[in-house]
Amino acid sequence: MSRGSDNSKNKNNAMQAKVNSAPSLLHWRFVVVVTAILLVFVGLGIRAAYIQVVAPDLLIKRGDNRTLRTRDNPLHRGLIIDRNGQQLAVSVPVRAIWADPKAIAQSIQDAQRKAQEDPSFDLKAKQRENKKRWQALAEVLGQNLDKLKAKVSNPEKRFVYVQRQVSAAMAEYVAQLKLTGIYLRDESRRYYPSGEVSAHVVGFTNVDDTGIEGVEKLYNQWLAGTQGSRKIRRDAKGRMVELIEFEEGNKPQDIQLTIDQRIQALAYKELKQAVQYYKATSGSAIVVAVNSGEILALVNSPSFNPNNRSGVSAHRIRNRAVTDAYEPGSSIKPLAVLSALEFGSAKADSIIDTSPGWMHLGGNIVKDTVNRGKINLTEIIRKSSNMGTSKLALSVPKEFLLDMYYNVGLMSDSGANMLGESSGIFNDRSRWSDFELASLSFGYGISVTALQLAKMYSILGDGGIKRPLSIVKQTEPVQSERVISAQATKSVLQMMESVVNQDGSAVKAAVPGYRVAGKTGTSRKANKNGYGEEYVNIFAGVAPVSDPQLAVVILINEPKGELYYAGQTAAPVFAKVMAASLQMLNVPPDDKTVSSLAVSSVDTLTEATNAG
Amino acid sequence: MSALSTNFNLFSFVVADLTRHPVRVLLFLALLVSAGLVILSAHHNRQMSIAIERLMQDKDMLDVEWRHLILEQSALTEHNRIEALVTSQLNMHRPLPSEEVVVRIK
Repeated sequence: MSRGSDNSKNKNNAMQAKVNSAPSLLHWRFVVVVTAILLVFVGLGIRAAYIQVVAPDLLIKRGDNRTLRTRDNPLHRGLIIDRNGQQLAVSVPVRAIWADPKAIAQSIQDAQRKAQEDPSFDLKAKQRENKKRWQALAEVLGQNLDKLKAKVSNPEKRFVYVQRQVSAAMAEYVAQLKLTGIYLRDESRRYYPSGEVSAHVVGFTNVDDTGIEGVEKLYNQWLAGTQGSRKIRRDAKGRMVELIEFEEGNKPQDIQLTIDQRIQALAYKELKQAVQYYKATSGSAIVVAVNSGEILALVNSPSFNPNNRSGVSAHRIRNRAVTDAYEPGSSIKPLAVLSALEFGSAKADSIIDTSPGWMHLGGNIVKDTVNRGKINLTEIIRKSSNMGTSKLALSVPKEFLLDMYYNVGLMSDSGANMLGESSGIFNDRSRWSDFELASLSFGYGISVTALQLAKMYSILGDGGIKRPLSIVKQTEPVQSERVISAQATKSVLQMMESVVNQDGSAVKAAVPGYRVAGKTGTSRKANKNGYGEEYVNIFAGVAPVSDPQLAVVILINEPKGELYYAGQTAAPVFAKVMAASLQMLNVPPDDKTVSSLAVSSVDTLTEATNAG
Repeated sequence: MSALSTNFNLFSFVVADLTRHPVRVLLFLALLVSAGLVILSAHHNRQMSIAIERLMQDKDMLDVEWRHLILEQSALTEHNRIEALVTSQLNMHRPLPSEEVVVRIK
């Protein structure tokens, strides 16, 4: 279109053309080139603007897919420790091996397709190699290869556990096998170093690390905490280069029990021996610190190993000391005496006439083994006279008597808040016959757990002050209230001291060096035909009497050997547990039989011990 | 235009031009330096992140080791085990009350 004008210009200015026409000749080309280049840049600019401003999300997402990761913070269940800080339950990280059957099926198909497309691909060798690796996996896990393959053969599934709670070393080996579709994930496993000794108190967790028994269950939330996570940006090598978000979970907390593992271990050993020796069905032992209501030991036999629970029957897992209620028999006889003393119907030096050794109450008979005649209160407790306690129980109003039973915690739970705790069996009724009240006084017609009995004795030991028992260490002092006068408890303790002295019903419960107050209880177990030939042996007591520190309850259930009186079975166990506990807690002996040494300063003390 | 005026030294011209606006030159240099520093600090930040992650991993591993160790310790110091060991190997026993001497400090 511009050719005509160029020609006319040439004609008009022939001389000038040599100098000036060349740029104007190329002007249109210049415009085209500039326009083209500009268009390229404008295009780039538009594209850049489109990516950056209009639709940036897609690329951001793709970038994030490659670099953004959310990682869980490691989470281990809190420890359970005893009062001295010894670990009773520890979580250790392990791995779980899981499979993605769909990915496994996919990889097999991929290999076959590759073999069809590429003749040089050695499918046979690949399959051989793969089989060898699966064989190795089955061997290291101790599983059958065919069963293992069957487990992961359903391509519909996306998640199958191959094996759980695998040790780190084994997991490392499995990871190195590099099998397609086999993955690892973190989990943790709970170990109980104290084993069967504290199994009932501590409880245990299931395979998912959730508490299902004992303290583990009751304080599950506290112990477990919640998972925290952090959102990070990673580089090509998988290292964290930027911390984007940090979500702090609830940190798992530790729990400190009031249990003293030294006493616990000793009590378990003695109880286990006794249960075996007396061929008993079961046994329980409880040690309570009377001044704080803290349970220092709580053991049952038979027990179980919480680290390996396969094949353990349910009766071994039951925490019998808190779940099973028995008629306590004579072991609660001090209550009848206490009621009479508190009400004022008897004094510490009163004489009760128990002759002729039996009496009719309604249609029933209350009787002693022999006619004991006129005896004082101490004799009633020492000889465990049913006549005596019945008369004392009937000498006070029934409400007063029942209140006493209620106040010492025989009709309510112990306050320790343990899993499966029973409040015993007590049928409150509007009308009480004299015989029912009398039988209550010698421990029939009411069923209590060993823990309730321990609470009653800890109240006696603390001079009549009641406080809830505790199994978990409390930071604040617990509420306490006086339920019996100090005077009455003191005189009853002194009466109970006679039980372990010469001629008492439980001489074997004596602890050399310490003054011990206790009471035996041998009760028949009720069955569908009335009272049978099975016995429950109980010995409960406190020591030292001059300043009580510990209350101990030993319960031997259904001894089948030749010995079935509490004074012969439970009392010796009581003596051993009480003696060792007092020694471990450094309680000074209060009996005169121990040699004593007084020094004025620490210097002379070391000399004295060196010399001694 | 004369040959003299067209045949100028580009370099000296640029220098002369730059010296007329020293503030802008300074700003430009400052921009370069600060850009460099941004790159450097981002790099350091990443190195620190990598380091802190490694330390956290170390901490986790130490925690695991600690758990294994206390497990081992409590298994070895189980009270009944200790008692059995000292009675059999060291010939020790619990003192009887008759053997005890109570020392009272006045």
